[in-house]
Amino acid sequence: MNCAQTRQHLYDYIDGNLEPLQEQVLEQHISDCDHCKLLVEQESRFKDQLKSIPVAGPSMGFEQRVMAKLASQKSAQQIEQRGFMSQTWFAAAMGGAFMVFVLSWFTSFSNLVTTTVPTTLNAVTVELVPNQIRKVSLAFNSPSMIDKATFKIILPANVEISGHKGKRELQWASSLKQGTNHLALPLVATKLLVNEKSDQFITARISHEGKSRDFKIKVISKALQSGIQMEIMPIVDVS
Amino acid sequence: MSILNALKLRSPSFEDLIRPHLKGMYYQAYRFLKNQSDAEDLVQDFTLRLYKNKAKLHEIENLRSWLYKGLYRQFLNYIRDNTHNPLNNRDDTEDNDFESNVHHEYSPELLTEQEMELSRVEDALYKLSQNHHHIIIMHDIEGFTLAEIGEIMDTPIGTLKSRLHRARANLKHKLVMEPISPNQCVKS
Repeated sequence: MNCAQTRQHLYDYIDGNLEPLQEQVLEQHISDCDHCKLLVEQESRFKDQLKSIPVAGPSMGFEQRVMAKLASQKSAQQIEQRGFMSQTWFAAAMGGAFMVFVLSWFTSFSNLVTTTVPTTLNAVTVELVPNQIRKVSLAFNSPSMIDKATFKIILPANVEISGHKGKRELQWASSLKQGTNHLALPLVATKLLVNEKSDQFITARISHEGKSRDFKIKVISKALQSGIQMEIMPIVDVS
Repeated sequence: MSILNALKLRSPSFEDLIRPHLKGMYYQAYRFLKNQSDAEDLVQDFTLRLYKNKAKLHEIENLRSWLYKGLYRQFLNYIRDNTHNPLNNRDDTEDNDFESNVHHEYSPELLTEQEMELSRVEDALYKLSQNHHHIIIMHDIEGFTLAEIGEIMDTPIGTLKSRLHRARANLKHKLVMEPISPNQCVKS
């Protein structure tokens, strides 16, 4: 290799883009040629200088500020999503009697650690009068943010979610924020559930990244004169 | 299932994925914008925009390069939308990528005669045309390969290779041709 060829491949050599054999030949020339040796040294030094150009670091708390802004945006999106859901269901619920039951289910869905169910909530009951709406608000307490979870509500016969007549299943995508997440279910019974042969359940299924967890609300029919009494029992079912 | 096993199964969140790259993105933005506040704003805006397409992040193999490309696009839009930005007032006449236009040849001796302080190198770098400035940042400073830069800039490698060559030659030309500041003259 001569000086002209060395110059031609100079940057490839400095950038480490030469084949081993070419590199060997070039290095051989450099070891014999002071001019080319100086050229390589200088180009390498120049490249090092470029890398040494000082860059002012970010201001104090930059990462935290971006993360906080991100959390704020996420929260706004969740409120928007919840608002959309609530708007639809709340509007439907306004036609009938309105009652809120807050259940506090502690889920650790994303990392599947042991679920804790407060014992006092084992037997919350709600009475459904046929063709009148009762809004049951379920609270899922998640230890961390879960993106793009899928919610699915599976209903027993003769129980509907107001505004979704005749539908036994409803599914949508949403996110669980860290902390308490409320899900409002405006339930309505289409007739008295009396003398059913087996237990009936409303299932709230949350799926995320191929895993799912079911929360089953046991519906126990009682021959009440004015309606149906539902006994709500959170049953942990990790599948 | 133990908590340990559960943690292994948990896929990283958007925050987990993006947080390690925030500083790197800031430095990238700073090198382009040369302004701390603008660089921080650019990275923040980009991160918030990225969150809307967060599902994509899990599919990316070379996240650093992918983020770099996205931020670079955001930067280009930023300077396009800020017509008063001094970065838009560059002389792009030297932007031709054809090898035949390389006319600056400097001997190593000539360069060593100059006192190339980093500030002078930096000043000269920012006086390059946008494309030349960017390719030197990406290749010589950030260490991306030409193949990666080809992805980032949507430009064929052959074109980038000659552009890099010209960019380096132009940078040296500016360093050699520009007068040394009076302070430097006093010192020498």
